[in-house]
Amino acid sequence: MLGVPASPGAVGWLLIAFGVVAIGVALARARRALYRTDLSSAAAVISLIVAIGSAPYIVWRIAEDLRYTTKLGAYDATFAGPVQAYLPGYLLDGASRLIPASSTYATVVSSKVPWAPARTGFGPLAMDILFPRRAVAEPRTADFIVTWGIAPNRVTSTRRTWVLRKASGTVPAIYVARVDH
Amino acid sequence: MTTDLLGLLLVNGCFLVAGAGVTCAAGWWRSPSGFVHSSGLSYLCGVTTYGVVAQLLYVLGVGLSQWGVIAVCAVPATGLVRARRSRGGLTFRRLSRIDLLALPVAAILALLAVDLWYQPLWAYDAWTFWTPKAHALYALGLDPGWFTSASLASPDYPILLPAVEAAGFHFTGYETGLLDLQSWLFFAGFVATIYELGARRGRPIVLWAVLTMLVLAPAVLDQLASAEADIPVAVFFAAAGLCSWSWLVEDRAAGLVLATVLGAGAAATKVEGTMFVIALFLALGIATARGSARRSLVALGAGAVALAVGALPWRIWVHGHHIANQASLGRVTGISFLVEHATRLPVVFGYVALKLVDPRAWLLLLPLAVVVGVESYRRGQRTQTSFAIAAVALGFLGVAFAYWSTPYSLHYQLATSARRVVTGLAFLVAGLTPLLARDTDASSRRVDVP
Repeated sequence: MLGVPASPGAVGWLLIAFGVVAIGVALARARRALYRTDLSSAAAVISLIVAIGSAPYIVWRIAEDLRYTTKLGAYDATFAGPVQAYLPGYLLDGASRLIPASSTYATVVSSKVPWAPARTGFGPLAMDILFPRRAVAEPRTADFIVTWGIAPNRVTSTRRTWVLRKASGTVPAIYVARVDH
Repeated sequence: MTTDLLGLLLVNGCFLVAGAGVTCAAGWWRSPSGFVHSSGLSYLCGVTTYGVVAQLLYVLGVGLSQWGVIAVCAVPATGLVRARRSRGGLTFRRLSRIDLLALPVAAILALLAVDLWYQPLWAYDAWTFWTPKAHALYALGLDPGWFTSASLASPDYPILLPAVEAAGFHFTGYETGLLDLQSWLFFAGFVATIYELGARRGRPIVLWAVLTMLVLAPAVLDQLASAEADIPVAVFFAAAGLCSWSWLVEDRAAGLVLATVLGAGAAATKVEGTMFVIALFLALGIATARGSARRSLVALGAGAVALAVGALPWRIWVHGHHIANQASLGRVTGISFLVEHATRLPVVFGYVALKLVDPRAWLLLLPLAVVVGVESYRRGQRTQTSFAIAAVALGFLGVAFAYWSTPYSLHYQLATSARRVVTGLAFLVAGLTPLLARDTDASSRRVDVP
């Protein structure tokens, strides 16, 4: 879940502690009845008590998630997936204006891009932004190439190159180029 | 998005009607009361029927529009002609105090729905290939050019889930914010199915303990929010297991028919669905073998039909378009690879087993199932207990084999997928537990068609 904290924190631990105490008290109170019943029913009662004792913490997790997701703006919600992979959704803004809908393209990412999830997620992000254009594996067979952190003419022979985004801080530049067949 | 929600409910209503036709035609129910007590199962059968037929149509080059979705649902809905008019009103069993646990279960389900309403599409597999495939089916159909794109991850994964999501897009437009709610509907349908089967058969305390744990299980909440295929494949597989149980124990032919429909759905959802279906029908064949060789063959035949309908058309398409197949038979026959990597086995068994029993993920679902299973066996309900153990054990072995034979980094694979892959087994265990807790002698019980 997107908004659940990595560790329970003070409130989370408090709820877990409360749950443990409540489970202990409930089990102690149910002890005699548990001895009298059959094994399956006793196991079911114990499981139920543990589940209900865990409920405050579990519900709190959902509430924390809701607290985060209800504050997301339209942009953050749309690009929540790429952002998880260190890919701002605006990275490829404008690319679909340069590449005609019927054209093919290839993506190439430099190892200089510092985040591994971003390197692997760049292709899928391009696929989403450039839909329904088709990606091909081999850059020299594509109509266009979209590169990140590497000049297109170092990948294959190109006719025209556009700088889609200039390099900024640790984020290398993104280029679109028409391949020279 | 509110209008889109109505669209989502409308398309799922179509699935429910289609599924009602399937369950009625199979003979699972006949009266309106029978339908009410089978609506969860009917919904799941409707989704799988639509998904499997849609996958077949896409493979054959047929595109589906909004009317196409309605038409695909309308055909199985004709099975409703077999329904009969009710002689009396709706009948419900007498409720006891323990049934008040329905209130917290419903409240948690409602809270989950609210959470998923606000959940964006964020899980890696969801935004990189499940949803893009659905988008492509919606906008282009099964366009070989796009589906063999270099940037498309896991192009060989079957397309039931994308086909169902694409059907939703035909009613809502390309709205990815509702896909988590679609997962919730699958899950709610499964919870209802467990209730429908367990309420009249199992002990209420066991049933409600299972349902409470299931809706509270953190693993379920985490996966519902991911909008990936793990919840649907688990739901279809486990529901197929429950229907198989009904055929095995109560001798309901409709149970085997519906198990085949749901099994086909599981095989058409994910590669491990195929493996789970093999495990389930093999277990059914083993459980019936001692009593009747003919019944055992019928069970194995039903499994073969489920695989032929659910997995084969897509596999042929994948092969025909030269897409690399991650579930290649080469992995089964690569004996030298397996021998070389035999040291993986203890790690795989230990890791996967721990994920299945982890109380932080599943609370006490598995320990309860073990206790109920042992007691069921001691009470002499050996056939159903053997079936449950065999289905879970074979499924577990299948998962273990997949990790043993993976050409990728084992630790990476285990860390990123094991917690999700065990969901099918956990759901099957959850569904069978209330049924194993029956008081009556299983073999002497025959259930009338409601």
